[in-house]
Amino acid sequence: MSTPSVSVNRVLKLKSSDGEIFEVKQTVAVQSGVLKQMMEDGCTEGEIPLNNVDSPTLAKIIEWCNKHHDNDVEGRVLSEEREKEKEKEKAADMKKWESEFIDALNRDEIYFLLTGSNYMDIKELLDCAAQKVADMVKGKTPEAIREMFNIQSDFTEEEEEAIRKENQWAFD
Amino acid sequence: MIVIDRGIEKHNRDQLPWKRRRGVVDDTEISPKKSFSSLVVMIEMLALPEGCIATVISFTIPRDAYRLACVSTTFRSTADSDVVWDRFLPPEYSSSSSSSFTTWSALWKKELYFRTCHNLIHNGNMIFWFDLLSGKNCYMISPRELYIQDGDNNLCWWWFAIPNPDVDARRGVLDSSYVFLSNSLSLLLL
Repeated sequence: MSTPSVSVNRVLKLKSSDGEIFEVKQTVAVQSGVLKQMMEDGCTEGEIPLNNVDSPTLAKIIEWCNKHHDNDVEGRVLSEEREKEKEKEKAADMKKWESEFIDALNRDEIYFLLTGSNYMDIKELLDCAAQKVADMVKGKTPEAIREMFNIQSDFTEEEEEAIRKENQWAFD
Repeated sequence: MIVIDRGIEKHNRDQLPWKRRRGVVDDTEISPKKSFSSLVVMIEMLALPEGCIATVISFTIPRDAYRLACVSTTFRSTADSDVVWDRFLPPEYSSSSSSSFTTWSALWKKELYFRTCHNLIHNGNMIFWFDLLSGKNCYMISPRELYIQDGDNNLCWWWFAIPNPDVDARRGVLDSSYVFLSNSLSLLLL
């Protein structure tokens, strides 16, 4: 079955892992690679279950997509008018909004956002969340990173020694 | 439901190309057993799909990637992946480039990184490398390539040879109240 790919007025019903339904405009949902593919395949009738995304995370993801959709629409108008300065200003505002959005989340929420954006294939959001986690691990020793994320090393003593020797320059 | 599964399969295939190339069959998606059943599991980085971990590591610098490789076996295989090292390479060497480096495309990106970070000579008067720890581009420029204020005045400057085939001579300053040097680089090199 094939239907027109994206309609301005149509909404998708997304069902989170804990059963909450979220309505999202198709024009906003196209930011998700997975949903975009489903729209192109005409498989978006009824509720779309997102089994790896819980409702608080899905709410955050939709907030992100709505904000970026609004920005895209306005951005196109500005670019037609060739108002480069305003475009720059808009980009800086968006950067600030993204930074505040991600800084307001705690560590667990950031991980959920990482997995959720990876699952739904929303590259910009995945990159933003990944950048935040990367900033958390920068400059830390393997021991500190294990402690931070509650990870047990599964190397044998010999393996760990060999890997450390191989990568000694990174510890100097 | 079937449609979603198909979509996710496609998504993962696109996200994790290195798995196929390196013969890793197992896809460590979060298993039903682990799937967010407890807070402890939820906050562990190990519970993240490898695609997420790779994206996180690619936002660090090479030094951090090496340290992260020492955390666990999952981190090690992810930290070595092409997705990560492709991002550390200068744009002209990365897979997004359509330049003439396609003959190197058979190399693992990590290997390519280490081959590239050792000096490449440009016209014999300039050495390019990128710093292992920061991933920044660095240039060493021969004084022959520089404009030097009063460079021809033997009272101020003298040339001396050094035993380095890459740089034929260096110029030393004898005495000067100020030093003015300038050089221009082609944008193509930067």
